[in-house]
Amino acid sequence: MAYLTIDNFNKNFGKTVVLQGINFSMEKGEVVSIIGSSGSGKTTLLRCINFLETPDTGKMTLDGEVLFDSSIEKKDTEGALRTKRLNFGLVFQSFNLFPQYKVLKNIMLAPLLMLDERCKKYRRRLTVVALENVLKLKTKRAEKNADSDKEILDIVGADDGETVKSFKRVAALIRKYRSEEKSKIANEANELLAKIGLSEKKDNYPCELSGGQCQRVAIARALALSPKILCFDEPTSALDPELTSEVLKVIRSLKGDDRTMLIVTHEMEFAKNVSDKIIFMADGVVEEMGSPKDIFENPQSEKLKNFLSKSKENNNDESIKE
Amino acid sequence: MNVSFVLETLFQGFGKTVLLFVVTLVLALPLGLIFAFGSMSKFKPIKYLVKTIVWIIRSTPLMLQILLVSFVPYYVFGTYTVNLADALKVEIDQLMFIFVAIAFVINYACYFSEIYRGAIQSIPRGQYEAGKVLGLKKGQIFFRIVLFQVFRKILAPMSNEIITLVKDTALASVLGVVDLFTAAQNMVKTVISLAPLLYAGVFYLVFNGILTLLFGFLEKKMAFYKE
Repeated sequence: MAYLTIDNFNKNFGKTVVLQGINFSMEKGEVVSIIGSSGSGKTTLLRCINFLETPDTGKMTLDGEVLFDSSIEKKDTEGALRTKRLNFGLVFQSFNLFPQYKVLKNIMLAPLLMLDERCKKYRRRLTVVALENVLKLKTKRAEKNADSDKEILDIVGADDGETVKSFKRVAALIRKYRSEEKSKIANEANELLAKIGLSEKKDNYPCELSGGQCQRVAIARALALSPKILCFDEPTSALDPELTSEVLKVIRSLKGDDRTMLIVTHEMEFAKNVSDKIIFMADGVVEEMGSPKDIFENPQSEKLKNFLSKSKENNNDESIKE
Repeated sequence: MNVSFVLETLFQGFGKTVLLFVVTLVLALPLGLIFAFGSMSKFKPIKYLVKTIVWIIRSTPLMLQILLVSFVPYYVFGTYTVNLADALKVEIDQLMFIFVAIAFVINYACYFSEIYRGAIQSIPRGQYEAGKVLGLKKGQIFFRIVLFQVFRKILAPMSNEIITLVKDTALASVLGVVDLFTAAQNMVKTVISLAPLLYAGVFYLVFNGILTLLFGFLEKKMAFYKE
C-alpha cells in the first residue's frame, strides 16, 4: 500500500467546484510535484492535506493510518487535529515567518512550546506519583498506569527503579529534562540553519532578510518538527527570479536526504528535474499523472499540451528580457 | 490669592483625576479585549449583543452614561443612594466616584474593543495558519504570535484614546466628584481669579506630556521589526 493515499477528494466553496474527485498516492521518499494553471485547485488540495481546509468528501491515509474520512460523522477535536497536522509540514508562498522573533527563535518556537507542554504533563503525572509514594497509597490509578509511570520516569532520566518521594525531586527531574531537551532543540535548529546556509543570520529578524532567505528559514522551521511529508505551496512565486534558485537549491538538497515532498510549483524546469512523479491539475481534476518524462515529453491531454506550450512561451519571454 | 492653598487643593483634585484614570485603564483594557472577542465571536447572539452595546455606548455622551449609572440603584432596584452607601459602608462621595468609574470603564472598554478588533483583524491570516501547521494550540497562536503584533498595532490609536481619557476625567464633576477640573472651577469663586483654571490646564498638559513621552518611548522600543 502506498505511503500517502488521497481518495476521491471533493471540495466546493459555495457554488464553485474547486476539487473534483481527486485521487492520487505517493510512496515514502518520493518527490511529487503538482503543476497546473492558477485556479486549478492545486493550493486548495495542499491545504486540504494540511488540514487547513476540510474536504467535503474524501479519505486520506498516511502510513496505514486513516487521517481523514468524510464518511465518519464525528468531528476531530482540536487536539486530534493538531496531532494529525504534525504529520505534515507546510511551506507557504508568503513565508509567514513570525516577524517579532529572530530567525533562530522562529525555528525553535514550536518545538519549545511542545517541550513545555510535555514538561507540564510529566510534572503533573510525577507529582501524583510522588504523592502516592509519600502517602504509601496503592491507588487504582497507579496500578493501571504502572507502565506509563515507569516510562515517564525513564524519559525524564530518573535513576533506575527510583521511587520519587518528594515534589522537590520531581521539580529537579523536570528541570534537568527540560534543559537537556532545550539544548537538543537548539542544536537541531543550528544544524538546520547550517544546512540552509544561514548560520550567520540566526540573530537577525525576518525583516532583515531577503525573500529567498526568508523562504529558506521557513523551510528550516517546517523541518524542525520532522514532518513525515513536507509540502510546498508555490515556494518561489513571491520571489524575484534571481532569488528563486537559492530556494530551489535547498529543496533539491532535501531530496538527497530522502525526504518525502509534495510540491505545488510553477517552476517547470525544477519540477522536471526534482520530481519522481508529476501531477497535472486542471479545473479541479487530476488531468494527467506520470513521470516527468511522460508529462513533459509525451503529454496526452489537450489541456496539458496547451499548458506546457504556454509556460514554454512565458519562459522564452523571460529569457528574452534577460 | 494664596498660591500654596490653590496648589494644595488642585493636587487633591488631581489625586482623584489620577485615581479615576488608573482605575479606568486597569479595568477597561482587559474588559475591552473581552468585548473585542465578543464582537468577533462566531456565536451570533453574543456577537450582536456586544456589537449593540458598543454601538450604544459609543453613540451617546459619556456624561449621560455617568448620570444613568447613578440612576440605576433607584430606578432599577428601588434603593436610595444614601441607603446603598450605608449598605456598602462607603461615604456618599466615594459611592459617586464608584458610579463615575463604572461608567468610565464601560465607555472606554467599548472604544478599546474597537481598537483591539481592528488590530486583531489586521493580522494576516498566514500568521495563524503558520501557527496551525506548526501544531500550536489556539491559545498559543494568540498569546505567542498574534498578541505581540496586536500590541504594536494598537500603540498609536491607544495613545490617542488614553490622552482623551485624561481630559474626560473632568466629566466626573457631574456627580460632584471633586477632580482636578472641578477643584479648579470651585476655587475660581473663592479666590476670585481665573488663575486656578490656568493652573489646572498646566496639570493636564504636564500629565499628558509624560504620557506622550511614554508612548513615544514604547513605539520606538517596538520598532525593532518590520512586517
